[in-house]
Amino acid sequence: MIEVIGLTKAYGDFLAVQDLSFSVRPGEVLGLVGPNGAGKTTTLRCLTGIIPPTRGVVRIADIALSTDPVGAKRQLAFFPDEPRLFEHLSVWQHLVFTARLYQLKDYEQRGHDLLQQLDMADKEKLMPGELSRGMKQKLALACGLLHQPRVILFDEPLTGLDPGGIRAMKDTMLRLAREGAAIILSSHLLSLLEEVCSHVLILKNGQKVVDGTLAQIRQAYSTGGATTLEDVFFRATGDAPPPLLPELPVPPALPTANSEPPASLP
Amino acid sequence: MISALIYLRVRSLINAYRAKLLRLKQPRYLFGAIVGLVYFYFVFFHRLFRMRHTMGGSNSGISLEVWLRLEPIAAVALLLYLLSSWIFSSDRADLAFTESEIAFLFPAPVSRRGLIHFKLLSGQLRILFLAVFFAVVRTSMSGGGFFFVSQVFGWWTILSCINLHRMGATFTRDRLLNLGVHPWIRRVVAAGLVLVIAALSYYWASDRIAVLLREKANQPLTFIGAFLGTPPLSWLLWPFHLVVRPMFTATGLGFLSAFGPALLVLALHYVWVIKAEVAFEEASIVSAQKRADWIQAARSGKSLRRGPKKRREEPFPLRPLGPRPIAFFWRNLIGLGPLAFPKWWIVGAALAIMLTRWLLATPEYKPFVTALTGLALMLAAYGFLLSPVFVRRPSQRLIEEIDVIKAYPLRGWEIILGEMLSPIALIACFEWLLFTVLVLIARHRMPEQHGLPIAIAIGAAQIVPFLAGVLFSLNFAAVLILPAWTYQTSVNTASGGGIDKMGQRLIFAVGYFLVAIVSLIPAAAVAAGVLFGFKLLDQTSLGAILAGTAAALTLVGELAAILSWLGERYENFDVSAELPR
Repeated sequence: MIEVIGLTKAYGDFLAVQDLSFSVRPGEVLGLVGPNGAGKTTTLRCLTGIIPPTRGVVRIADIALSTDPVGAKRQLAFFPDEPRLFEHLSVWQHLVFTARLYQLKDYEQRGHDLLQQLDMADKEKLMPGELSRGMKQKLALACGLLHQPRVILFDEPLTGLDPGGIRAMKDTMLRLAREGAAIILSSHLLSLLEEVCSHVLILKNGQKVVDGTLAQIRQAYSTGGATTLEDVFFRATGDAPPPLLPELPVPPALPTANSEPPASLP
Repeated sequence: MISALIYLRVRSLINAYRAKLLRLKQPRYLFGAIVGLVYFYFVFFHRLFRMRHTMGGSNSGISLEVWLRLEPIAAVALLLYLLSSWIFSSDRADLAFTESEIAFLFPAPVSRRGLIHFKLLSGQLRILFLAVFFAVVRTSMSGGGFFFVSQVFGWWTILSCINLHRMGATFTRDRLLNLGVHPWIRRVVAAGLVLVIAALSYYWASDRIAVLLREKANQPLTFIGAFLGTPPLSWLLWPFHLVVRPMFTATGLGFLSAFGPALLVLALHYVWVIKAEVAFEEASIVSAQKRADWIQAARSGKSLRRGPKKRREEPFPLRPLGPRPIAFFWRNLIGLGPLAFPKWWIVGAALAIMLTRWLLATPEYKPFVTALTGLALMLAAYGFLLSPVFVRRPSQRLIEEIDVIKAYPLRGWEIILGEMLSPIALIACFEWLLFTVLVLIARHRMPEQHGLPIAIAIGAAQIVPFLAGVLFSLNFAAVLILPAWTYQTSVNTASGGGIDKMGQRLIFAVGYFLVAIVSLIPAAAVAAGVLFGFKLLDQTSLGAILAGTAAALTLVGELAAILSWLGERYENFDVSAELPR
């Protein structure tokens, strides 16, 4: 469903993503993990056609993104970390706009159903300025799911959500996977990935360091006993977390401009 | 402590300009910088460097004699500007710190006075730059040598006074509010005081003014100077004269004698600001947070403005099937609000027609009809050339909303066409309205021409949307070729200002003109051929209409080629390489 072969993205001499290959099949949820600057967002942007890759092939639902970008994009939905809504369109007008872009003739019933599922049925006439962060996220979801995408990409989907919103988002992702969507989920929240993902791909410096099912990578990086995804992450990337505040020797008090000279002892 | 604050300010400035210089490694930005520098040199510095003109000398522009007589007007302008800070500004003491400045400086062992000094010093860097810039501009028009120096110090005095006064007014307003003085009382008192003094001056000097009006009606500067020199208005303006006078002196000695009192006014302002014991921290934090949210919203691709809470009417119902650019058109028309509704344009057209017919029906109003004709022609021409200069939001949205738009299943040309349609519709409605007025006038003035004016207007009306499209495409090309210049300069700090930006504006100004000419040449050639053919058949009116159709079709071809190229460019546009976030 998602097939990536030899994806490379270069900025001058700097390789943001190097020769990345992987695939995600229907019903699978791939967790994309990596330290900051590993190339996760660049990868997602290449997969959605937002930025062109330097080399490599991306196939969305068997359609090559480079040769038929419109056909490929009809099959996918991308949810950036921040819901990007149009300030002058109401909730329902967002769906109308999306329907025209995807040429969805019978969108109305599905639009109402989606709003119903997302507890937004009574908010059709509201403007984005009247919605909470979670509601905006739900509206973005409704727009993205209106055309029933077969490939769904999430970039940090839990940013700014309250516990209720987090639960709803996780349930939505799992339901979409059960319905046969191929999902990629980029997040720093390893506990989320453990709950939702069937597969994990760890990137470091633009290169793949781990790729497999959760069970496979736990087994590969196990040192005996229970191995969490966090353990796998640090072992695979070799980035043992440094303490935020390393212990420093206590320095002697610094003299300041206003400090009195130390009194001399008799 | 002040040294640390100076370090922060100077280092930030150097780093900002270093970033601008590094950008010049890219040939396109270097080209812009060269154009800007060349323009600056020939327009401003060339004359200044030659130093041909001495203090008393002048050539083009304002002569020294006229310049010196502008002092009272400058004093009034300063009064009105400073008055605005007592009438329009908010009440809480807010010193416009950035969030980082607040985070570092407020908890640091820096006194409130130290923070005020920091703001004053920060302001001085900007003021010095502006003073030199204004002096260069002024001196390039006439004068030179010492005149330049007097202009620099003159502007420095005025701008420093404004800076200090606004800060002092901020503190005083806050204090008044704490004392229970309602803002409206303050506003009415401030405005009323000035109006009463002006009215009293007019009353006392009415006889003299009547004489001046009779004798010197053709010498407005003399008349204004005499009126402003009448007590008690002259007493009110006296301190403002002290501030502006250094800029209006003719000799070195005159400048020195004017500069001393001006410095004294600045010193008094400084004492006023420093002695004000007003807590500005809280209001500064709130406004810094608002500014940061504002910038963050823009950086993350959201609007700078707070979204509306009222649902706007749809200009037309959007069906789910049909051309996809219409979806963008529909969305943008909703954003435009009432301007997008045909009913308002119909009302506007009806009013314009009624007014024109009324003027035409009254022979005494012939001069007004002539003026209206000139105005309509001028607006029609400027509407074309200036609307792309001012309407740049649709092209900037290409980048702002790229994470959303590029994930849609649309070709690049569809997106660009969609974003282009609403400004094209607006300019077309505007031009058609003007054409209607011109046709009415032409038919009245040239009744023997029968239907020819209407035919010409119909011919021209067909060209309008497509020519507008070609001109607007320059904005989209600029965003896609030179994004760092054109994308949200207020947000993308690396792109704001700079000599290359100045060059960019010049290139665009010339660009719109050139694009209009180049795109019209083939269209005009085709139209001329059609018109000539029909003229031979003695069907000039029909020929005018069909010539317009032929020209419009030619422009459609040009626009299609441009959209195809821009669309491809957008599809391959790499925002992360062009504008790293």
